[in-house]
Amino acid sequence: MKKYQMLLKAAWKKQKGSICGIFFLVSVLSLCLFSSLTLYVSGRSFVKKEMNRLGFGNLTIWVSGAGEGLAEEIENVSDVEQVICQPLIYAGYEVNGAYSDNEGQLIVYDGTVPYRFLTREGKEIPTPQIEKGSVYISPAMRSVFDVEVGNTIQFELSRKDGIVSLTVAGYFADGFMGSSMIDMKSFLISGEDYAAMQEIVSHAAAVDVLGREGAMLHIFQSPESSLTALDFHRAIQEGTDVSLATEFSYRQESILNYMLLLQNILSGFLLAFSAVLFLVCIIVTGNSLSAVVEQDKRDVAVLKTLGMPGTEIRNGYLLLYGGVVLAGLFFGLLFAERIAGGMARGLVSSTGLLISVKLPLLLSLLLLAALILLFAVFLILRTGKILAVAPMETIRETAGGKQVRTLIGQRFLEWDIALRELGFGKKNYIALFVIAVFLSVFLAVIGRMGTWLGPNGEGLMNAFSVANHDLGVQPFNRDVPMDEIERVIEWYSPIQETYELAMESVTVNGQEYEANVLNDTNWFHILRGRVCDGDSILITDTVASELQLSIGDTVRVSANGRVESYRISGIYQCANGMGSNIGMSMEGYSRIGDITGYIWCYHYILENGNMRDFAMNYLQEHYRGIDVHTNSWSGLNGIVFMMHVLIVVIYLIAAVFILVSVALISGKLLRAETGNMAVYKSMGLSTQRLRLSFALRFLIVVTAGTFGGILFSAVFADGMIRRLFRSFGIGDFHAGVGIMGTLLPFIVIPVLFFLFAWAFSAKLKQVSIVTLITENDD
Amino acid sequence: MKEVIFQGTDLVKTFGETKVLQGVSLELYKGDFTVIMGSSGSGKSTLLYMLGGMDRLSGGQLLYYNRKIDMTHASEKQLTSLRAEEFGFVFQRTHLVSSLTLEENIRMAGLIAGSMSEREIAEKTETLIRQMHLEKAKDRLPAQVSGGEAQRAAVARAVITKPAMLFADEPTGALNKANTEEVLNLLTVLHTEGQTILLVTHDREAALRGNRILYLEDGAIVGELKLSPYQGKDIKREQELASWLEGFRW
Repeated sequence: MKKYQMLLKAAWKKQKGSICGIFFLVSVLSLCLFSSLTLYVSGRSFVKKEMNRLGFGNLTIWVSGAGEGLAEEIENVSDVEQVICQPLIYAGYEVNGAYSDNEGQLIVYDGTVPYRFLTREGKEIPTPQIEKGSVYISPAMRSVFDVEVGNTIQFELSRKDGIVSLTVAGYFADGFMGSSMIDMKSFLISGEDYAAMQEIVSHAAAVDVLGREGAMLHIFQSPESSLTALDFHRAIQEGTDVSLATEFSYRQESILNYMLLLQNILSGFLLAFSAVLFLVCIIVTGNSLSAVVEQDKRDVAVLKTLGMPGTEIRNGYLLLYGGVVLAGLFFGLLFAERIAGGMARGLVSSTGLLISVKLPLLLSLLLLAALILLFAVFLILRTGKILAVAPMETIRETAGGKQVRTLIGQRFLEWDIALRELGFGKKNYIALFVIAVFLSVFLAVIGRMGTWLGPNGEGLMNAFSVANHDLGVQPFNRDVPMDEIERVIEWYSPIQETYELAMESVTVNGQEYEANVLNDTNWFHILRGRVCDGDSILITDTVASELQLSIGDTVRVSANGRVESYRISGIYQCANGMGSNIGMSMEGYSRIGDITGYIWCYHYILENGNMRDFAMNYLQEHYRGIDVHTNSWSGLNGIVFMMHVLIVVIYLIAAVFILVSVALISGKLLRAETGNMAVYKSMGLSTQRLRLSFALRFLIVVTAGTFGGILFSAVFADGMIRRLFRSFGIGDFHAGVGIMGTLLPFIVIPVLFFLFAWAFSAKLKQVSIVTLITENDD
Repeated sequence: MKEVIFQGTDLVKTFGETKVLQGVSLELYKGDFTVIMGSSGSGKSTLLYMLGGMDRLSGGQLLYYNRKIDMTHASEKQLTSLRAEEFGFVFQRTHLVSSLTLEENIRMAGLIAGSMSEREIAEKTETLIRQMHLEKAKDRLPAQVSGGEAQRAAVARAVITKPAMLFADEPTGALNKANTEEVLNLLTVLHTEGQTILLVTHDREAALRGNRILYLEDGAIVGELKLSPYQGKDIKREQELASWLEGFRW
């Protein structure tokens, strides 16, 4: 035991820089991994628990009109255990000059549903008394509408004296629609305001009424029921008349995905990044350990001549490095919950509620065990060299090397020296190259996503919209002067193209979907197959996998009590509703639906798309009876912001990793090249020129590695991201060459390596040549 | 009257608590082959490195006349420039750059100095390779040649820039007898051609090549012997040196 103590003490004295560096890297890896895992797992379970606590069932259907009768009808379906009806009023609203894309749902707060009330930061506060004239909103509305306590929200219930203004009094956690990703928003109001609104809606003339009464039906599947979520929904639709009153419906699982979309993007990327960090950790630890073993080879040889077995010497190294890795992993684990808590607090304005985080103990321990095992195997393999050290051979050993031919001239001497040293000691630089490849692949992938997303979220706009457009105007009655509206639009920008879109509820083989109906089907984003006609429809990848359909199959589509058969002509992209939609032609839809009503939204492509917001604002302010929208939606800002935050966070972590990696690798290289450095110095090569030459080696290797990584991502990244995006209903992804995915990593990674190498080579300045030369003397 | 190259007054060098040079005063002259002798730990190598601008003195004044520089207070840039353009070094271990061939090692010193064109450097390298009999070994790495070849290359590297002073720190310390003779002959030839040399050694045979011997003891010069220039084996010179060294219990 005493000899281990002595060995460890001596090793610590000599290698404390490397040991601290490895501890830091492993700690960051562990923090990143376990905190993102904690956030991911906690988010899912917390929102699910919250949804259950608030009384949301396996399926929630929003209906118009009184819901009690329907609730009773649904309760008679054999697989249904219970239905809870929660009355509400639907109304469009305006906040700080911005109009909602979807109607808000005004709910009277009477304490029957145990909502949690929050501060601005998401901290829970005691349940308040909701005063007349005040409203409680989801904190996510802050990121969507920039709304604060004290602002006014105007709810549009009737064209004639039907605008009700309520003042924001605080926030509440909405476990079902609270996320900034969901346009539908609940508002908690007082019983008096609710009654006043009911009065307005019920007395408004049919031509003036904007709001309407309705209900949320929370449907619970009976525990004995063996139906899948899809079949359960189908059974309710087929067994009741609920489809006639349905506004929209969501399964618990799909709303869970919506609620946690942003958080899952963040934690998913951090988890993936942790895998990259793990590889970097392994490389740097291996590199550092082999340098230490190499450096200590003579000591090892001497210990062996004294009779100490190789296994015991190796155990000393394993103890030290294994201990450091373990300490780093546990350190990260210790603080993961706290970091995840911080992340959850930062996400309140996106998720709409403060996720209560708790380290998933079993999963974390399993993961920890797997990491320990991987590190252990790696360390055992890496220290194998110690067993192979032959005592006297090593003591007598002289430095050798393989001859390399590169040009050496006066003009670019530092560069030439760098190239020569690289060629001569290429083994020492492999780690650097591999780290650069891994980091650049990951940063390129995330950068490509950023490029695809665009500065204003254009990528998502196109992915989520049925067809590209700048502006959409939907008239709700015959009094809307569309000619005049088009002239207004043309004040801002000439209209390049126009087409019409209707979004109607249909069922496909009994399953409810939204049908996107176009008068010109060429506007659909076709991924595979052909556009649809009067006898065919388009489906998304999501529908194809949900209903096990493929191109050429025939399906039964129904709406308004009429059913027709259609062939599937192709797969198209529209991530709206997580891809739960189909595409139809106007001719096709006319076989089952009424195309003469006010269902059509006129879509315009403008010559100058930048004018769309100005045109939209003008139309919203000056015309009633229309819905005006652009290709964007309120939750988009949240995603764009999150993506930018994510890119910054990942670049920061990468920069820290690069810093520590360079510290460890440059230490090893400087040690290995002490002799040559001293000789160059004695020949009159200044420290500055030596440092430049040293840093240039990093630049050359890392540029090559980054180039390789970017090339790899150019070939494979789009495919990888496409696969990931399919789970969100986005069927296509193509980023191409862009600043964030190509240029940024290509510049940032080599430059960081170069600068850090330059900084760490400052050691050369401090050590005198005499010391260097005598250190290198035998 | 010989031209003074270095003038040192009360040169002091300390390493922590240890005073290695304790107020050395000396002058080194142009064209001399000065040898510094002394027992192990006497401070002779330290003195050489201080004079060569490889390390900084802790006290005293050291003037380098060619550049009119007080090396005690010279900037790192000035010292670097002196090492590149004015001085040449040969060490006990050859200290050639391990990744460069012998030819490249020689050429590199010329490239770093930057006072000659690449063509001149190439020609000079070629000449030195011939002079040092390195034609066969010139394209090999230091690890692939004999100690004698490596040390000859180190001498060639040291003189490619025609330095005002060639510093040699025990250049034959790690060589066998034949190689030692070769290297010493080279130094003698260089001296004959006008090269000023400062050699640190504890080898009597090597010291005989010099024309001025300084004896260092406990960080101070305690004796000086002037010899006639070396012209081959000379019993009289050998005896003169031997009896002088006996005075230091050598």
